[in-house]
Parts: sequence; C-alpha cells; structure tokens
Amino acid sequence: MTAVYLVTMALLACGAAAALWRVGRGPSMLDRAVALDVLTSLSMCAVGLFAVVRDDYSDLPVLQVLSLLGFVGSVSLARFFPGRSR
Amino acid sequence: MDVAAAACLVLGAGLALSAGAGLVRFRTTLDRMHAGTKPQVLSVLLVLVAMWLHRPTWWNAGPLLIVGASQVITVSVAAYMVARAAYSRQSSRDETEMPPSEED
Repeated sequence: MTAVYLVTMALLACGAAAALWRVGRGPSMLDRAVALDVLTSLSMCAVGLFAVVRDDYSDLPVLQVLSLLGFVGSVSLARFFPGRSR
Repeated sequence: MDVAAAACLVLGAGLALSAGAGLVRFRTTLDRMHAGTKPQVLSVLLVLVAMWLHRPTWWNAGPLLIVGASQVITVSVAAYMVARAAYSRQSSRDETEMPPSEED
C-alpha cells in the first residue's frame, strides 16, 4: 500500500511542477488563472491523499475551503481582466 | 475495498498529471483550459471516492458529497468566466490583426 501512496504522491508532484511552470511562464494572466485553478485542485487531491494515508479525516473542511477559494480567485481574475495587460 | 480506493487514488493522480501535461503542451489559452479543467474535476472526484471507499460511513459521505458538488459547480462556472474573457481577448486581437482595407 505504501508503494501505491508513493506513486500517487509522485504523480501529483509532477502535475504540480507542470502547473507551476505554466504559472511562471504563462504569457497572459488568464493562463496563470487556469494554471492556479489546476494547482488548487492538485492541492485538494493532496489533502485528500494525506487524509487517506494518515487515516485522519479531520481535513474535510480544508477541502471545502480550498474549493471555494479557487473559485473566487479565478472568477475575480477573469471578471476584472482588462484584456491587454501581460 | 482498499484495492478500489488505491485504484481510484492512482487514477485520480494520473488524471491530475495529464492536466499538468496539457497545461505545458498546448498553445493557446482555450486549449489549455480544455486540457486543464476536465481532468482536474475528475481527479478531485476520484480522490473523494477513494476517501469514501477508505472509510465508508454516512458521516463521511455528507461532507464528501458537499465538496464534490461544490467542486463541479464552481469549476464549471469559473471555466466559463475564464473562457469568456479569453475568447473576447482572442477575437479582439484577431480584429486588430486584419489587413488594412483596400481603399488605402
């Protein structure tokens, strides 16, 4: 079971590295918004994975907060995006 | 039951990695959204299913259902907003790149 958890953590880490690369590189702010959205969901996956690994489900409110937080961030960025700034 | 939870975990992490790879590989913002949003939602839902399979009680099912439903709703709305901004930006840029009119 430990090998499965390690493989899952490695996959999540590779995905997070790719999303972070896009956050740093991304030509427009919308690319960064999309990449940060993916990064938020990756951290949600990581919180759920650690809840399963440690057999401790007290992190469930953290998942809810992360979900709503990513929503507010990307929607406000897309709503007030001026259109030309890079 | 634990094997199913492990399979869901690995599958969710693989989908998350595919979202990251799509973010790196694709060219335009709309392509990146297309590659990013759908595996993202599916990976979170699979991890939630794995959490429920790991400890299948009704006390865990409620918060997990709330998290999954809010994730589906909010990610679709956020993707709609970002796609609208990206599309308007792309179309306005297409208009500015039109060749000059023929009367000039």
